[in-house]
Amino acid sequence: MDPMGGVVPRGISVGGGDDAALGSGGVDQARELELSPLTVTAPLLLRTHELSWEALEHLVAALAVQADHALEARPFGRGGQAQNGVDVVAFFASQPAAVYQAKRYEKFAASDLRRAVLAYAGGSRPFDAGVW
Amino acid sequence: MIVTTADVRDTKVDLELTRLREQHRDLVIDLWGRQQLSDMLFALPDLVRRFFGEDTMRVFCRPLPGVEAQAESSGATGGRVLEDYLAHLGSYLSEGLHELVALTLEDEGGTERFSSTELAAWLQPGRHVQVAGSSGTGKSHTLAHAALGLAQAGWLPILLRAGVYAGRLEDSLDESVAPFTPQTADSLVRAGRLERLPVVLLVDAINECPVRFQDRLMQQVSSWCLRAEATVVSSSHEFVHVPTVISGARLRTVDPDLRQRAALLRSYGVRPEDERSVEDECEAFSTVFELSLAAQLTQRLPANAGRAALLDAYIGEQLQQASQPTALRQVLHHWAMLMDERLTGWLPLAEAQRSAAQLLTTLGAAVGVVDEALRSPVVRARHQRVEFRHEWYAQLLTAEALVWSCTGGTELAGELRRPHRRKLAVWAVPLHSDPNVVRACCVDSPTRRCSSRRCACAWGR
Repeated sequence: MDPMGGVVPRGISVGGGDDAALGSGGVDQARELELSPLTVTAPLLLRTHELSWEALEHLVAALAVQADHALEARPFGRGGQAQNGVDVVAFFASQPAAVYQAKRYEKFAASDLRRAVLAYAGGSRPFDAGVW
Repeated sequence: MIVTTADVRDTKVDLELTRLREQHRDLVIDLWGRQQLSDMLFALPDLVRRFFGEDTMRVFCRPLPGVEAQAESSGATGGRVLEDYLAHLGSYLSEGLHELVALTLEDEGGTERFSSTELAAWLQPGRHVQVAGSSGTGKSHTLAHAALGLAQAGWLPILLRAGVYAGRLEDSLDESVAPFTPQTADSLVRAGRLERLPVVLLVDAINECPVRFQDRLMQQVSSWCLRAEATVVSSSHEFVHVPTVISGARLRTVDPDLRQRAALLRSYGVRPEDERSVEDECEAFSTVFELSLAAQLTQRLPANAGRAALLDAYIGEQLQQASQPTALRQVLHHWAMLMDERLTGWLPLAEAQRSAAQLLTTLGAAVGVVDEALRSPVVRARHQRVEFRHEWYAQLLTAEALVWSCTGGTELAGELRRPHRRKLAVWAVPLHSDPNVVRACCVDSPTRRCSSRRCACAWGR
């Protein structure tokens, strides 16, 4: 695994004892294969769990703009205020606002999902968001 | 939208999400977990850099740097990169570049002479060369033509203006190639070496590099050339000390002889029947640059014009078409003074524009004059920098700004005595009508002489 938890990019390589078994021709062959990998996979996952909760909120706001194409997105409220299950709100040109709830969890279970939905759906539903 | 940093790949979570969507049909419920965030962020390297750092961005968003670089610099890709670079560099250098009239280059000992037009053909990989000559003797022009000739002869030339060097050669090289290729200079050189193109680094006007950086520049050039196996061609007012690995031929420019002067004047449109009278007008001028300006001002030169009067007339003529020539000249003064105070030969473009706009507002002139100034033939705006096309323009305009701004001769003399302004006195003196000022200037520098043979100041006599 790589430092980010993904798969280390690697080519086809023959190392250690295999080199010895292949002899010098095998080593050359192995080097050639290392230089010309047939399949190289990029790291697949970022270490999102290492983000602070503030960073996560800002990341969600940035994604709302760049990935969801919101005109504007910003964190909703400050610590200690009732947020009704909304951490970030995004506004669009031709659709209702969308609200985002950011959960900095190590593990996420079905019960966490249920609680998160209930926090918004069962509350005052600020911004009357269609997407949540 | 529920966004979590955790992995949400779980059948129970998926089933719960489906159930909740059924239950809350008035809402569109989405769930982003670690995988979804990662997939989205792969295409958003700026966000990855911001939240996870540069290193992560490089590995995560550009997963194949080694292989990619290899591919870029090899085979068809590398060849295309080089072709594009050479084509763009060629058109850039050719644009507005006057033909190269054959002038003489002489080796340091004075034993060997050859034509400046042969420089590119004379060069061989590893044959480093320095070209030295006074200002206006055509060094930059010769290097630009050499770069073109070398590109056509199968070299990979990189033309670096030493004036932009600020301590890191890699940055300056990247800036030099940036208008012509998306590659860094090092990537370009790697591609060139794979294609077996000899690399040549042309370092123009080392004298325009701030003095405190000159040794460092040549040290870094030397190290870079060792790594890149490049040949170095440099130019400066005087020969500079260079590390042994890039020492080589030392050539000096020679003032044009009668035949070369005639060829030069003809190249600027002087008709054969006018040659004699124009040559008379140009008698006071010895350098290629002076002759080129004088040829463009035939019969419009002031009587007995010296170098300062020549440049003054040329700049004046160039600014005639401007909507507000005086305001434009004041903008040029302002830029020249800023460069003079900073001991540099350029200004950041944004700052030049902003400060000129402020000046024009103060003067009650149209702000559009800034654009006219940037388009003026004495100024060059490129790479987000503004510079004068020739150091003499900067010197004349600085001297003129001082003459205009100083209330009396004593004040002007005081300004000209400052160590970094010693070169300016020869420009300021002919511009000033008060002989007392001339005397005041000369008191401090009795050994200096005005470079113009026709200048009316005491130095010229």
